Amino acid sequence: MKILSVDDSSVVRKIIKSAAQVLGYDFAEAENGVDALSFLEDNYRDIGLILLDWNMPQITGYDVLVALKNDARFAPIPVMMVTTESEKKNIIAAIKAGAANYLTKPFNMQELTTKIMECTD
Amino acid sequence: MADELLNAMHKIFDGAISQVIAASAGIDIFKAEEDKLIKKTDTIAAVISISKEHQGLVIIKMSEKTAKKLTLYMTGEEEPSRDELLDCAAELGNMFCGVSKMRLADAGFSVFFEVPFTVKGENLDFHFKKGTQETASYFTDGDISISLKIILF
Repeated sequence: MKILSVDDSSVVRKIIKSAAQVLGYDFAEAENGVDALSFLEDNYRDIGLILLDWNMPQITGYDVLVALKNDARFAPIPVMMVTTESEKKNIIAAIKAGAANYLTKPFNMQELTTKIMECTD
Repeated sequence: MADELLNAMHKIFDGAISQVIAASAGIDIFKAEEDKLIKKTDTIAAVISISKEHQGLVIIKMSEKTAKKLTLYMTGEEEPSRDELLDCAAELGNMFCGVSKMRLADAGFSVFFEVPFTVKGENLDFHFKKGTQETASYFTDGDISISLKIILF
């Protein structure tokens, strides 16, 4: 199974890559929502979980989430939001839009791996 | 109102910076009296605009050495690239603002932060016209040093 990290921060993508490796998952990355949606066109069958930032250039993570859930090919892939957006209204909006889990930054490796396992078990 | 907001931001950001550094890099940092610990050369700054209801800037400044150590603690990367150092500073700024935004809202202040941008250079300093209100804080663990400046226009 492969985890796709969509985040405009290379540092965050690197942290998520480490967590994926610790858990024995393959890893893919995209630095914005446009690249992520493009990547999924050819690779969605390999992706078992998407970790999605909220505040990114071009398209917000929330809009990417909505696009994913409105596409029958991508909709079954669980999505976890990984973001500094910690307002309740945003968390509720993401869950209503179909997010499987929500992790607010900052986080440590233990919190990250636990949340990933919640989505993949 | 601006005084109240500035005081609230000062206090809340101070707590947020310690919390974020502890959570993301595993380091306990403490407030320092002044920024003499921050080398004036090779400075990296993450700048975040405050927009909408209030206008201003949040400036997080650190030496390149500090950025390297924080990147190492966060990612395990021994020799981070220049882009990774800038990205680390920006992401930390993003997290400081994210944590603070929620606490400011709880305190009755609606503050919107834009996406950070970063600046790198020698003797990097920021000056503003008279009439702006600003506050500054300095943090260190003896090994790393970070300065925070909040400016309200």
